[in-house]
Amino acid sequence: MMWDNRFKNAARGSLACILAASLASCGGDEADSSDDSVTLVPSPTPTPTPTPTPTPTPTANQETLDPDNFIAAGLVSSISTESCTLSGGTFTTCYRITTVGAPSDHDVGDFCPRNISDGSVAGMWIESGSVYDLTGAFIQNLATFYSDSNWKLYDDGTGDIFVTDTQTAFEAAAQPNVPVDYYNHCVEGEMSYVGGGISRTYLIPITPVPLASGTGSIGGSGVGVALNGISMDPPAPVDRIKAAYTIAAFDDCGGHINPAEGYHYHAATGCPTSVASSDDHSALIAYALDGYSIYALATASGVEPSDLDNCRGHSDDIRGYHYHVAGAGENMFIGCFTGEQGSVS
Amino acid sequence: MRQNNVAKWAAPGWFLVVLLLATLTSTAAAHEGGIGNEVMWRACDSKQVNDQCSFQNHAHDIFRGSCQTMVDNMVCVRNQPIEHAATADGATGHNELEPPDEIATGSGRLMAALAILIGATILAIWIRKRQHQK
Ligand SMILES: [Zn+2]
Ligand SMILES: [Zn+2]
Repeated sequence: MMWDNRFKNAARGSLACILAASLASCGGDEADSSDDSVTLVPSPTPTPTPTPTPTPTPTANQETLDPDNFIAAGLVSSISTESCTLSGGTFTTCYRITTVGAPSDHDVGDFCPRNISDGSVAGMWIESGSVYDLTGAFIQNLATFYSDSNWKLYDDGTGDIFVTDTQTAFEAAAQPNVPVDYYNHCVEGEMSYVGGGISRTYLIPITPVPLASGTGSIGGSGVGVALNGISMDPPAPVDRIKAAYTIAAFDDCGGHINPAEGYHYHAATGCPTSVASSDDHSALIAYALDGYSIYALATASGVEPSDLDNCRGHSDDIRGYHYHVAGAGENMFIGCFTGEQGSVS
Repeated sequence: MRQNNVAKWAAPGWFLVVLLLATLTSTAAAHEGGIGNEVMWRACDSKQVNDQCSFQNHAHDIFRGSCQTMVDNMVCVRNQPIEHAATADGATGHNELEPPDEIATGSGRLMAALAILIGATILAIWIRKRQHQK
């Protein structure tokens, strides 16, 4: 009798465990596809109320692009003005900014370590919202890091890491359709492969024009331009990068080179030139294509704004509406545009 | 007699365990490689622009924001300060009222499957032992 009860209890307990584990496991997937629940993360605190779609209103104190904030060495010619039509159809006046495409305020690289025994930090890699130093040990550990044994970027015998160390290899591997020969490579390039830098011309409105409704998506033209004239590009879906088991390494400044764009940033690491704010606000680092200023993530005292809208923008009395970049590990800068965009060519 | 019934019950019980294991491990396999910044894109699967989203990094820090389109794909853009694991919900950084967050990952499911396997084995050994004693 006692055996029966004990068995029943044990069986009940086991069944409960099995069912609970199953439900818990499935719960993750349910959350993934649910529109109104928190995705991938258990909610430890009440879900914050939705952030309203930003609609910045023009104010007398609205900060505008100041050409003097750009480093002259990053520009092909002085910034001029000309008529332009913005993404929302507004006909206005824009600054014409033609950049060199090579940073004059910091070195380009290093990117990839050369041997798995190489302990010094080459460049960096961005994953899961965090930044990782690219060392030999990191490359050696990629199969474990990604839980996928197909990752193997080094020679077993010598420990040498497969790096795209010629222009041919770079051009083959630094694009979406990587040939099989260049699978499992750490991808890096040199500025000489892109003619020393790829020039771009930006037309950015002198006075930002808020969109009549909603927000503007970030497209292939990117987010904006840093004060050293380097483009701030949108993130690429990681699926595309990881499909060929390649590491498109970033340097310490969050940039890398590809054949089409030349040197460009994917993360703000505090490297390029910035303009400090006179109050306890973070520094100006760039201008967005819609003409609003882009500031560093945190204030001088290390505090992040807590009132950012969906585009990562907010307003204050000194600057008017402006954006704050995301963290370096997030592989992006801002979320969207609240103003009509200029153009890049 | 009752123990015979128990033995009969135990056999389909094993089948159930194996079936559950197969389900859990295959789900885990499907999620392999699903770590990294991919979570920022996955966090917006089946969502629409401006829907709320969230994801975690390896240290279980929580990133909350909204889904935005970037180059024709939806990605979760944080607009709240990062909730660091050590302070998000107390000293442990884990919400005791919810399933462990590892459960939502492939490795979490594997761990759950292993735990079930070990539990079921212990249960089977115990049942067999009891039968022999009888
Ligand atoms: Zn890039
Ligand atoms: Zn601010």
